[in-house]
Amino acid sequence: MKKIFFVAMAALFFTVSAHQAKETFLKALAEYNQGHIQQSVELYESLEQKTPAILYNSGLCYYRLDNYGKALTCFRKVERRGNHEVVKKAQAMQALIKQKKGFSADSYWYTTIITIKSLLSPLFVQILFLLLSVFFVLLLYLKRLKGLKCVLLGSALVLMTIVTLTDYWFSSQVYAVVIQSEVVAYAGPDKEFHKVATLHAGQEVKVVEEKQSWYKVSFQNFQGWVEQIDLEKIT
Amino acid sequence: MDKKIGKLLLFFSVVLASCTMSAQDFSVSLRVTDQQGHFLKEAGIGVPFLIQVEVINKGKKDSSRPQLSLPPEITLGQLGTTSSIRTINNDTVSKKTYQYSAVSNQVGTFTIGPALVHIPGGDEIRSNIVAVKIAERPKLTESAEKEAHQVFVEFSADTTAPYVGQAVTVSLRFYYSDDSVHLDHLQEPVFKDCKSSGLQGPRNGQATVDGVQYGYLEWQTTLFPTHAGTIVIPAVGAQVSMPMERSSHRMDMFSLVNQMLGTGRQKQIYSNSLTLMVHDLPAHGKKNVRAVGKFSSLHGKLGSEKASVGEGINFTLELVGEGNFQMINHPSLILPESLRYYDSHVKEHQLTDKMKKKDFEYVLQGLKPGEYDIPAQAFEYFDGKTKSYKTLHSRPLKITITGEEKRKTETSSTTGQSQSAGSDLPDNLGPESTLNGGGTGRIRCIAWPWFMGILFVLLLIIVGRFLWMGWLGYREKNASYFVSRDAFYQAERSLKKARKEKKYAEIYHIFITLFCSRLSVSAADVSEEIIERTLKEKGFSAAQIIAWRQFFARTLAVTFAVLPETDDLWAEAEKWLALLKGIL
Repeated sequence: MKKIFFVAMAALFFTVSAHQAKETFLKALAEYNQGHIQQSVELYESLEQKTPAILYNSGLCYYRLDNYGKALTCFRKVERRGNHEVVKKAQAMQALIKQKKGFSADSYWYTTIITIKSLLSPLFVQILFLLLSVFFVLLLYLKRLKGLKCVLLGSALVLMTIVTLTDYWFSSQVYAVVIQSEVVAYAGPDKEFHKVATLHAGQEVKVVEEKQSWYKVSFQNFQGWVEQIDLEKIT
Repeated sequence: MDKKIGKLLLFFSVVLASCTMSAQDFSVSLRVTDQQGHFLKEAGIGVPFLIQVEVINKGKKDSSRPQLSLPPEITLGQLGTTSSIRTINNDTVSKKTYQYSAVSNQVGTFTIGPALVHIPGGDEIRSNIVAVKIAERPKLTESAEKEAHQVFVEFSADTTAPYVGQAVTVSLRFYYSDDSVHLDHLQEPVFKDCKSSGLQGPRNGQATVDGVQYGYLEWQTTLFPTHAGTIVIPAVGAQVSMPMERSSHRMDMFSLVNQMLGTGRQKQIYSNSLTLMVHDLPAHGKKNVRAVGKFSSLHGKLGSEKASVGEGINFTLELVGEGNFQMINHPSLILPESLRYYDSHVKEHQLTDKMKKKDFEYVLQGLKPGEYDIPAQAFEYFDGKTKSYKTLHSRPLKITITGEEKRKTETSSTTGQSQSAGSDLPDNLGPESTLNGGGTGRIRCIAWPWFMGILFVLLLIIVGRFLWMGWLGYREKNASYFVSRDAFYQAERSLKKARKEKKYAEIYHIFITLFCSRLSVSAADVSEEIIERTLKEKGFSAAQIIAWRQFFARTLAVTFAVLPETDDLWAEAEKWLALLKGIL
């Protein structure tokens, strides 16, 4: 009886929370349409669970507030989590911002990976891969695998292995976006070290190491240490 | 026995005497005075007074700090301690005076004391008790009364029995009869359980009070009581500079210098306190009306008369009048079911001294397409003067909700904030209109460790399968070698087992099985001649064949128990097995 009660209370809690989240989202959308951009972004930020729609709309708000660093961060996060439609929009917004700020556009390879990821669900790919592998094993044991069939199935498995491992590698990479206007990268995790480079809001860097309140980042041809408050992680 | 009782009695009497003597060495007294040190019987609400506890010690030992009993209505603060010591005829008398500042914000008569002092020996001494009356307008001492004619502070209100939320205009006046009196500092009044519009002033004026002409400085504020009940506004203190009193005697050096320099004496004076008896609003059915005052109009305004589903529309209710605007929040709207609203901003505008306009902004959203009537909105308030409830109505409005995305050019800009900042965005890059429009964001996948684990197992199976098939192919290719190897391996194992179990009869059968396997004949077909012929073909010499014949015959004899079992037979069998392995 107790278990049923707790389950019921948990279900009620989540239902109420979901309803409140929807209300807040609609209110934020209304504020955006009214031109109250700051209020709109504050409402979006107050939501705990950030769906791709919330991230995209937040990115739009930051774009209109000329906060390109935060805008790019939001759109990058949409790329990681959204479906194909919203990922396309996020990519278009990023291209717009990068054109405006004079940043280099994403490579074709990167864009292709993101597009493919948004079309395929990781779970679907994994299950397909496992099923193909099991099928291959069964055919091997039943000795039905000869010649062209073996080659085709083997090739498909190799391709899927490459795709899966690439996705795993891609997901494990930690990227961050610079959110402050002029950020200095130092040679070490302290301001006493000499300056290595200056980063601008919206630039994307790869996080290599983390130490206290500093990130070691990799960008183009250099590596340097940047304070954590100046960056926002995407993954 | 008598001696013992006597000693006991002596002991107790000594103890009693020492306590009494100790008690006689100490005395404690309690006094209540005003801040000038004059004996006080009545104090004003919020006006500080002094409590002095005097401890006189004629002995050599020290006493503890006094503990003062006070009612909870009196708040105590410590001021300080003074000490004095006097020695007469080798007798030392010390006097310690503990001073406390006290204040009360409630009317009534309160008992202060007794003060308890713990003395050495464990006893305690109590002081006297003093009763103090706290009044709105306390009776002044003679000297205070005299000075009150020159300068005083007066608190007043236009009504002392308001309703909850009703505006009460409170006035604080500093009266002075002489221009040489200066107000140095006026304490800010404390308005508990009230919303205040803030003290405004000062304003100069002239007034006649009890036949005496005074100048005054006036501050005013409007209070809105938030709760029913008694609200006491404590007395307000003021620091004034007054001219020095000219006196023929007791002219000390400082007062003489001050007179010469023209500097006055500093004095602290207090106003009266103010008590408001706040009444609850009369019952009005089940409604909880908080607006009190006199309101003249309620006007509703739409930012746009057309919008698409989900799009926000600005709606403003403008309320004009005099009243407790600070206590009025967004009124609830009466709308059709398909329209939803959210409270938005609030703006207040001062129209005249008392008249205000308050704009309540809402954001409306249409949930379904259609034409809707926004009915007249009602605003209820309580009129304090007529003591009745009244209702204001706005005019009804119409709104159309379309099912398509509205073009941006049609959006009105009544809020003053245009959407042109985002006009460089193409239409297809507008915001997402549903919470899960771009997906739920949850990336569903099998956890990587598990996935890699399953893959590894499958990979092992595949690799294992390939390896096994390769091994089988190799065996097929080298079948004769493996058959021979297996046969001798089997023979060796059987020999070892027979030796372990001392089954001598098995030796013969082991060799027969071996030859059957190597010669590919059945046990019925194999014979000594065939074996010897095969051995000869494989290169056995005549002597070797004779030796073989002897060994084989011996094993047969042992099998049928013709010959005894001897251990050397095992070694011989192994020797022949090794020899045959090389040739068969």
